[in-house]
Amino acid sequence: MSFLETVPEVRHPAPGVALLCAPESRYKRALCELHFDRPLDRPAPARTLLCPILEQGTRRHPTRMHLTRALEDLYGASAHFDSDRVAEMQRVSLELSWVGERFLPPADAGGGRVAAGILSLAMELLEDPVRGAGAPFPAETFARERDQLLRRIRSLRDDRQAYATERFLALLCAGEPLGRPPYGTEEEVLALTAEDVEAARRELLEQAPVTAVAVGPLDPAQIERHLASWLGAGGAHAGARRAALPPPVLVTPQRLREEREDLPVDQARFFFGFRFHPPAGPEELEALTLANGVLGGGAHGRLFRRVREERSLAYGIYSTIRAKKGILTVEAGIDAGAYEEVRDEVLAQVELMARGAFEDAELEMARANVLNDLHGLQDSAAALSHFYTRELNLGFLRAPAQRAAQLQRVRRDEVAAAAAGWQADLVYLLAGTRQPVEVA
Amino acid sequence: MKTLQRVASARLDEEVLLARAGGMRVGVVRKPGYSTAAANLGLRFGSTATRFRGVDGREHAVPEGSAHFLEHKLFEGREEKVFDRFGRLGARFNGGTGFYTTNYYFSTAGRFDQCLEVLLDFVQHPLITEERVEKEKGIIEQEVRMYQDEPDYHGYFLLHRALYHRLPIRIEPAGDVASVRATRAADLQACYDNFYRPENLVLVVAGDFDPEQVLARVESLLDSPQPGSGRILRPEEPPLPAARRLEESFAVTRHNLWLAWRERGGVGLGRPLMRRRILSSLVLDLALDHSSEYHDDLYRRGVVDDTFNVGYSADEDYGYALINGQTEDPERFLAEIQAAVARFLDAGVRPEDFERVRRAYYGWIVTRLQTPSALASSVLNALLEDMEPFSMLAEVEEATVEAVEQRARELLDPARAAVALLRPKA
Repeated sequence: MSFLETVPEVRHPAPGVALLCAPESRYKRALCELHFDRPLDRPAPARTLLCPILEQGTRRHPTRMHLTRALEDLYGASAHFDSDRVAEMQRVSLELSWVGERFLPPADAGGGRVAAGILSLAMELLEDPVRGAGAPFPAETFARERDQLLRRIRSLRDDRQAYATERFLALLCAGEPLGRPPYGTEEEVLALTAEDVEAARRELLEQAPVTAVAVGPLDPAQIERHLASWLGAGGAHAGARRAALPPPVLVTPQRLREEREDLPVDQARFFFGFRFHPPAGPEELEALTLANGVLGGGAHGRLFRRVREERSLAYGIYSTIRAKKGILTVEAGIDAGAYEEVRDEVLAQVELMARGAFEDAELEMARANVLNDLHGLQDSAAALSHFYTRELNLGFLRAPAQRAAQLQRVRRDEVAAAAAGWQADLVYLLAGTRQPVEVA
Repeated sequence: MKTLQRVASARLDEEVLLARAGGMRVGVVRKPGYSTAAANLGLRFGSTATRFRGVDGREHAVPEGSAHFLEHKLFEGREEKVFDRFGRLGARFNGGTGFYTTNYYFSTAGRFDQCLEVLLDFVQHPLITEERVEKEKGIIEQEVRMYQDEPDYHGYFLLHRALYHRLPIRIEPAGDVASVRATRAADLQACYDNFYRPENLVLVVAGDFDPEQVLARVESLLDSPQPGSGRILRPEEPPLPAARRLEESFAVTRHNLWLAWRERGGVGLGRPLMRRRILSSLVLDLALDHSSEYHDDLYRRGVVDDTFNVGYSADEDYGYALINGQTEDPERFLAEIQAAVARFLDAGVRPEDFERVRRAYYGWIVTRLQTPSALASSVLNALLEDMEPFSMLAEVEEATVEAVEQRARELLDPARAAVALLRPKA
């Protein structure tokens, strides 16, 4: 049976901890991602701030310099924390990667020093951070990293694309958890104490459901043993209760809203949000995937053809879906003067799709594109890791071949039905003024 | 039977077979058991080629951004858009125009032959008309504008203008809105006719296939070779920066600062360029990256923060080491960095630090060569720069503490430093 046809076993080294391993010796680098999920709620900024603080050192490696040196010594292994939104949760991730044994120089190959070293360091980062005198973290470390987070929040608008994305989500999902950024507001971050961040650390270790995905040249038993001894019955968190999180809030729009903000920008950022009811099962999900592909899933999408290729209104225009939350987003960089044309074109194309007015050839291009990626999964550790993580998030764990078979079976009426479920909610434009261009 | 030259790395478990097909250099990387296959076709003709002598001996000057504009036009195809042709095959594809090169690539699971045919067809048979050029201008203008709001992008080119008097890397690869609007079909046709010739093109394919069959297939898809090539006219560049410091106000909340030390000149291509890149990267890792005590001191005292980056960039006729970051106090930032660099040069390199940083570099080299796409890209870049594919590991292993120290003294010369600063708008 081929690699792509089998579903890797999901192990449970501890209650509330799911581990999926896809060992593959061809890859030069092993990846292991540990995801800790919490609601997007009031302590979210503390969890966000926890990430850089944990990267500042451990008792054994007391500064970031010492930590980096330890990683360099392991042939450039990496251990990095991140905080992001997934569906409608906050996901704090620890991403580990290291060079596979057979690609190490002979002196270091064999014995598993590198893998053991990075796994041990992962636990150390979360369990044994460098402490302050009578405080959870050194005062200067806490103050410095909090200031950095504040600066990041204040300078968000320097990155127009990131700012526009955040504003769009905030306006689209006002009052819903997804509408609040996981890093919080300036006021929330200023109010944080080291004790809040320490409480967030303990909460991750004792309440957060954990999903671990490990892919590449690695020994699943070694990782399972490690997680079991860390988070399982014999470890420090034996009594942890990792309850599943509530499902995302679903919203039905009452009318189409339009919002415009002005900043000095050379190119206006256009976002169009639609709502839909999340797919009930994998078949509906694949119909939705193909509907998105036909609309704006890439250079083969009809928005790209109509808005860019035929009307030269944008360099790029794409659509993406948040399946569990039920949001379709169309995004483009446009001339602000073309706002109405682009808005109307998007609405017209969505309406045509809902009526089934698309070519078979468009559907087949969308299908071929997704299938191509699925067939290529086994060549990339990162792509395979991403695939299984997504499957676990969605709650339908399939092998790539199973997903491909489901995609093959999707009919055009199912694609049209998926598009018919898209309800226009918000159009957002970040626009502004710019200098006229003089042509010699 | 083609004559195949085999270049292999046992440590990386990779090999490439090199040959010529129809005058074009071809590299075949075999990846048994892999389900995707990739191809990357490129040439050393990039955005800096704005003046050249044609095969007919005439000198040409084309608008900035012409190489990039030409890349766009090739994707339009002669009779059908390349997007549609690759789209039907489900392939991933794109192109890219850098300062010195342009390339076109795809990756596919199971449709390699058809995709290869599309690639070699659209690159060999463009249709460049005034009408088609006019239609593309709106799209490229949006692409150009997309970057104009980005402080990193803006500051990077401000720095290039401080570092260099005449080198065309002062200008963005896509040009600006005015140069895009000034571009004519004849400019693009001149670029194409003089450089898109088999002797300039390099094709690298990677996947699970028989090299002989792939080469035969490539040969069958190529037009008759045309001898000769245009010659890019490079300006003479003085050895010192054009300006010690350039500043602009920009829509940023903090000062965004770039400090660079430029090389006196280039070392051409091939092994000298690879060696220069490796040693310079090791120098910067040891001097100012996260594991250095100099960086640690700056970070802990709040002089630098997580926006701080170091890097080295070089090609045939330029090179520079760069640090960049955001700060409230640019004068202190600059003074402290320069003092840290002086301390590093004075103290020299400890062997244990060198070994540790080299070890991390080893890991980086190994793991960037994973997928067929990454391999095709890496081998293509090596061939376009006259380097032996997969030879970086050996070059890193040959590096010594003495060579790194010597490189540090050459590179981090205060007389060749320049600063670009974006100040927050009032």
